[in-house]
Amino acid sequence: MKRPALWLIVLAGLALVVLLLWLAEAYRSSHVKEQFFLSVSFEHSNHTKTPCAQCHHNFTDQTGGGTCYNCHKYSPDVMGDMEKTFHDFCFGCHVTKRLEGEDSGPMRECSGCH
Amino acid sequence: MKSPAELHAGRKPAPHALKFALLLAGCMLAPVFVVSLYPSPPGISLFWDWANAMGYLVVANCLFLFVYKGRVRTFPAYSGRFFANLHRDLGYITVVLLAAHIGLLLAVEPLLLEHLKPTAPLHMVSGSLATILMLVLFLSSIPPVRRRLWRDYHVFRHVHAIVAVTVLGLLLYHILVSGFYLNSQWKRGLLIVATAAVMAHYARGKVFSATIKAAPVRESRKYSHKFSYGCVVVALLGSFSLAFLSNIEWRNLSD
Ligand code: HEC
Ligand code: HEC
Ligand code: HEC
Ligand code: HEC
Repeated sequence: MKRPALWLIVLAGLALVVLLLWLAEAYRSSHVKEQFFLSVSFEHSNHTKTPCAQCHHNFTDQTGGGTCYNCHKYSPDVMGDMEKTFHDFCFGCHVTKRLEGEDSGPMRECSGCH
Repeated sequence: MKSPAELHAGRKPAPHALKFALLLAGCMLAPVFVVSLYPSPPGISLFWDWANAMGYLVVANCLFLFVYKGRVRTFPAYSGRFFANLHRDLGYITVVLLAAHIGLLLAVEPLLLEHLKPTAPLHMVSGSLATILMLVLFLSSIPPVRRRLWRDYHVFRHVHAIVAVTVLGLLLYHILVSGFYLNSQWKRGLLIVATAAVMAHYARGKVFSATIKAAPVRESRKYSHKFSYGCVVVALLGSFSLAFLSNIEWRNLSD
């Protein structure tokens, strides 16, 4: 048997990565709607320094009306990435504020929000 | 040129021992250290950050295992068995570190069970897939199991190598996309460059560059335990201190 060159092994491994992630994403996007809604503690009183439209982007960008979760949890276009979208959005600001040495909310400790 | 085994024959104390120990501990700790540089990710909590540091030790070990892949190398100048044992020991350690990464995080935040579901964000699913495949690598390489699965040792090696590359790829996706600690372009770039370099080094090697020689120096096969377990203790202490520092700093600032 002729031995395969090692770069073929590397390529095969990378192809497998792409395949697995693709399969996982296909499964995820068709089952994510079964995920129950996890309650979040969010207080506007902690966020008065931020302009409304920075969070309520739909006030200005004409995406529509309703609360965040009406769209992000239940609209098929965006629900697949809801968790990542909100986590990046919420921690993102909290981490930035923390790096600037200001007060901020929970970074990743789940109990801070859920 | 003398073979590594000949170089070593009859010599005590072992040549390269200190240098190799430094290299191993350094390679394990380097990612944890780099990640804590500017812009330092704010500490979450001591055990949370330590658990994630152990995750980085897993990645470092995986890269190291591609270089010390069980084949004879000229550095350190030990017999072939040493390298086979080193690869095995570091492999076992990687599995234990991975278990610690997951176990400790779940103990600190049980809600993280949500991230083990297949509906979790893809960068977390990627971590779970890497875990499953790493268990496959580990279990299928235990000699009695391996011999049962593959009569031909070479087939085992190819499968093992392909799955190992897959694990590495999934791990990179997991840490790059979650982006908690690799929080700047230069950190992400460095990781990608380092991985590409290791892969290029690996791919340039020949599949069977040297056969494992019977160990002429009996004691050198035991060195692998000392190096690998010794270095992992160093790495755990080092990562714990870094996690500790990143948490101290913030407590002072927010006072
Ligand atoms: C930091 C981001 C953020 C800012 C700033 C913000 N909001 Fe909100 N707002 C939210 C989130 C998240 C929710 C959903 C919370 C929930 O349902 O528990 C929400 C919910 C609401 C709701 C309730 C919708 C409903 O029917 O339940 C109203 C009304 C609202 N915001 C108005 C405002 C106004 C007015 C401002 C500016 C003064 C503002 N928000 C600023 C994030 C923000
Ligand atoms: C009417 C539906 C709707 C409402 C209400 C809504 N969104 Fe969105 N949101 C969207 C859509 C659609 C997108 C995708 C836009 C795009 O891809 O350009 C989006 C995108 C985002 C993004 C950016 C995601 C990214 O990947 O860049 C964030 C963050 C976000 N929304 C947060 C919120 C928050 C917070 C609220 C409530 C305070 C909210 N949204 C309310 C529909 C909505
Ligand atoms: C634009 C920046 C910004 C965004 C976006 C933001 N936050 Fe905050 N958050 C803050 C700041 C600043 C504070 C600290 C307020 C204070 O202590 O006065 C805070 C505080 C909090 C707290 C309270 C912490 C405490 O000690 O009581 C919670 C909970 C919280 N945020 C949740 C959220 C959630 C959930 C989201 C996403 C929907 C979010 N935040 C998005 C800036 C932000
Ligand atoms: C800064 C606040 C914050 C923190 C900290 C946080 N989350 Fe979230 N999380 C949210 C918001 C906002 C949403 C979107 C709204 C929702 O699903 O309730 C969300 C959504 C989720 C969802 C999806 C729920 C659904 O309805 O589909 C999961 C699962 C989740 N978070 C798990 C976690 C875990 C695990 C942690 C700890 C590692 C964590 N979260 C930490 C704010 C937070």
